[in-house]
Order: sequence, then structure tokens, then C-alpha cells
Amino acid sequence: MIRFCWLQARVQVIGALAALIVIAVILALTGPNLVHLYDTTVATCTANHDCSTATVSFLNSDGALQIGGDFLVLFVPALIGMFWGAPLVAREFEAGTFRLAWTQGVTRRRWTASKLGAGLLVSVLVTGLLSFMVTWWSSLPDQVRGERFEVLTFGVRDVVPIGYAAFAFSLGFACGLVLRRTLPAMASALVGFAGVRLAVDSWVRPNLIAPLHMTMPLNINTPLGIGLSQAGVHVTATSRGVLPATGSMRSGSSMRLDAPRRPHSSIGRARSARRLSNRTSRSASPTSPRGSTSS
Amino acid sequence: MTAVIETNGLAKRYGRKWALQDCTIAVPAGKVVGLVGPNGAGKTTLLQLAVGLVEPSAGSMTVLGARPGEGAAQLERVGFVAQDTPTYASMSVANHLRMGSYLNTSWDKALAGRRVQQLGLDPAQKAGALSGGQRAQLALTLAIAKRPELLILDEPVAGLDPLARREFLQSLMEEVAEHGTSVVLSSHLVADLERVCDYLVLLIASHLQLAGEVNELLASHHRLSGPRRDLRTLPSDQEIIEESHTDKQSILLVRPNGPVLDPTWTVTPVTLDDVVLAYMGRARDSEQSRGPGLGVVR
Repeated sequence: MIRFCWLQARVQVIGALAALIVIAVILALTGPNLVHLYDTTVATCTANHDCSTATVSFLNSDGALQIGGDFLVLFVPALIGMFWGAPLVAREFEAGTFRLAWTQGVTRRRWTASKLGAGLLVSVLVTGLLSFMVTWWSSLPDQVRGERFEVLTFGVRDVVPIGYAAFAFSLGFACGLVLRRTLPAMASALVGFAGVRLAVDSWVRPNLIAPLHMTMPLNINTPLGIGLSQAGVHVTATSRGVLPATGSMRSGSSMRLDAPRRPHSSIGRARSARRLSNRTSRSASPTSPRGSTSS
Repeated sequence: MTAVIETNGLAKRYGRKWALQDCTIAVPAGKVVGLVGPNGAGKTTLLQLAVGLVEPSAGSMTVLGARPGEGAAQLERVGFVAQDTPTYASMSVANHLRMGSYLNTSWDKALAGRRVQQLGLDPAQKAGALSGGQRAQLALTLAIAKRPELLILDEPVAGLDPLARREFLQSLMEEVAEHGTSVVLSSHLVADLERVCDYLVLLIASHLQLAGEVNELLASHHRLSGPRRDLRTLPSDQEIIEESHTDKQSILLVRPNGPVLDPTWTVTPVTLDDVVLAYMGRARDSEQSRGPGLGVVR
């Protein structure tokens, strides 16, 4: 049965692996550049006293690739659900070939288990390889940006896309089984997957783990770059990367400092800010750091 | 006489519509069985029940002594060519044969290869690019090469032109003669089956109407023609299947229990077509007289 699965799906699997190789080559060629750029800009910025320019120029380099990689990892599970999961059974019903397939010397149970198992394995493998390549490539930009647990970033790094791919494939398979027609199954697999993803991102994940609040003193030893804007009303504190004062923080370590009773406006980049009340959330929670701020 | 297909009160319902009702039959082994009936009579349902693609709503069925579609071994013992002879359009002929060998332990590779060669099929060609006749032959090859004990074909020649029809049935009969396989094939045209079948099952409006050896059916039915007369004067052991009258003449198709002795009748033999059409006409008439929803109970 496995040989038959391979016989039917080999073109798609080989195509997917070829695409992975192309992506791997692109990332392998551009990755070292990024490291070099990091070493010459961000790594030395404290010495040059100009970290904002350094980070901006670092993050802007290969910007298209950074966004492209993220979006690829974002969409690949959906594509897998649509083009691999949904047609798996739906096409058999639509073309009537289930009457050929299920009257061979293989029970329907084994047919389904093999198809589902092999499909899941390949989906997970392809998405996993892609995700880890992009994660490796983006490790420095991620570190500089300090947004590892942002909604978008979290979903396209490490093992998270693997889960999405397995879910999307199974959902597509189920849609095909119920609807028995390829196009409606593909459409509902896409809509269902996007819906669930959005729901998880916006409602489920922020509530999975209670955010950790902590207060830290703001004094001369706080490793923050502090600048005053006009009239001294707005105070911006920026810190990227690791906060030594709270050694366990890997990200979410940038802060926004606002004068009380004044909504913060256009100082600094929104993502690099935190409120003066100094309530920070620890990175262990996969929530957005900003999501836990309240003052 | 062992039975390849045995059913007892078999019935299948789709929603509120009965596709097959109260079907009790024993199809003997080693025969080429023609399953005849108008479109929508329940032929496909009966055959799909026999290969385990659908589950019965009531009654029971055994195929080769086991539950249909139960386990891989049972699936291998029954070859099936489904309606419209489905194949994977994007898969080549050679890959179809590969599929057959991967999925059936009993696969006869030499037989499959020989048949494809004889048919002149290009192994590299995609099944979607084959003609209807070629596709039917490919589907038949897949079903035959797993060396089944029972071969079930659902309207295999319905979409074929007369020449392809003849070639298909010819190659079917050659394989059957060689391996002694039991065959059940369905059609809504008696003409397709007349030459190949030695057993006939007639299904009309989800009910079994008639089942028997073709020779016996032909021998037991007669066409009577003679001067017009009142049918109530006929002997009670003569079952009238069909009657038609002109001003002066009555023509009947009867199934007598003994010889027809009345000298006023001219007795002529019947063809299979005559018998089937007579039963179809009778079923339709009785359905009309009983109103919709009621079928004929044999």
C-alpha cells in the first residue's frame, strides 16, 4: 500500500522536495551575508553609540527574503491542506475511482490509514524542514527584533508550523471525506484552517498561560537607552536583545516608557516600547509582550 | 450446486427510496450470469453490495461463502469492474498494472502484461487519454489479472460502440473460458448479454423478477398465437406474462407448467429478449395498476 501511495504521490512529493532544495540554496547563500552584516552593524553598535541606525539597516537588508520566508511558512500548511489533504478522498469520490481502489486486495481501513499516515508524514516533514530552515536563517533578525513571541513570528518558527501542517492536512482529508467533491473540500479546508488559525492566534493562545508581571527599577544601572523627546513629556527607553537585569528574558525585552496620563504617540517604534509602569511579561509565555501590559 | 452469490431478503435503502427490496437469490458457481433490468432497477446497488462497497439495509448476503468486502482476502477473490470503468486519469497504463501488483497478492503479472500487449495499449500512455473501449479493457485487465474466483462487471459495455462492445465481451469470454471464473455482468440491454450469458437475473423496480438458466427460461416460455379468445378459458397452470390482442388474434407469452396441448394455438419459441421485455411490461403494468410505491412481489 505504501508503494502504491508513493506511485500516486511521487510527482508531488518530489516537486515539494525540489522546492525545498531551491529554498535551502537561497537561504544558505544569503544567510552568511546576514551574519556578516550583523557582526559589522548591530554587534558593534554599542561601541559606535548608534544602535537605532544599525538595527534599522540590519533589519532592512534582505527584507523581502525575511518577509517571503515568513509568509511561505505561514501559507505552506494551508496549501498542504488544500492540495494534499482535501483531494485525497474527494477526488476518489468525484472520479468514481474509489470503486476501483476499494475493490483491490486492500481493505478500506488499511487504504485510509496508509494514505492518511503517509500524507501526514510527508506534510510534517516538508513543513518541518522549511520551518527549521527559515528559523535558522531568521535567528539573527529575530534576536534583533526581539519579537519571537509576536503573533505572526511565533506561528512561523520551529515546531509550530509542523502542528499547523498536520492539522491542515487532517482537516482537508476530513472535508474531502464529508463533502466528497474536490473543489468544495479545498475551499472549506482553506476557510476552516484560516479560521482556526486566526481564532487560536487571537483568542486561544493569549490565554494559554497567565502572563508573568514584574517590576524593575528605573535607574542609571538599568541597561536601557533612554532618550527624552520634546518638552520632556515622552520618555522612550529602548533596549534590544537580552535584558541582563532579568536574565531569563530572551525577548520581549524592549520597553515603552510613557509619562502618566498621556497616551504615547509617535516616539520610537511601537514595537520597541513598553510602558513606564514597567510591567513586563516574561518570554516563557507565548503571548505578545504587549498583550499583558496594563496600566 | 454451490452458490457464488447468495442473498436472503436483501434490501438497500438510500434515504427514503428503496434501491433494492426483498431480494432472495442463489447464483450458481461457474456460470456467466447476466443481470438485466431497466435503468434504476437496482442492478448497480446489488453489485456494489456484492463487492462490499455499500452495506445492506436489511437482509443478508454472502459472496463465495463470506461477507462481501470482509478482509483483504475476500476482496482479492472478487474482481470488480465498476460502472463507467473508472481508472486514474493521470496515471499511466503501466502504473495501473503496478497498482494491481502492489495491492493484490494474487496478481498475475504475466497475464496482465500479455493482455496489455494483445490489446495494443501503450504502457506509457495516461489512462485519461485512452478511448472508452481501451479504458474498459484496462479496467477488465486489472480485474482479471488478480485472478479472482468471481468477476463482477457493472454495465461494462454501456459506453462502448458496437465494435468495442463485441471485442470487450469476446476478451472477457476468452479469459473466463481459460480460468473458469464465475462472472456476473449487468446491462440494461439484453442484446449485450444474450450471446455470453448462461444464467439470467432480471431486476425491475428494485425487485427481483426472474432468475434462472437461460436455456431453461427459453424452454419454459412460449409464444402462443391464435384466434382471439377470452383468456379466462386458459388452463390455470399457464402463467400469462404478456398478452396482446388484435380484432381477430391473441398473442400471448406464457410460462406453462406442462406442454401446451390446445391445438388452436400456434406455439413458437421465444428469444431471451422476448422474455425480458414481457416481464418488464408486466412489471410496469402491475405497478401502474397498484399505484406508485408498490412493486411486484413475485
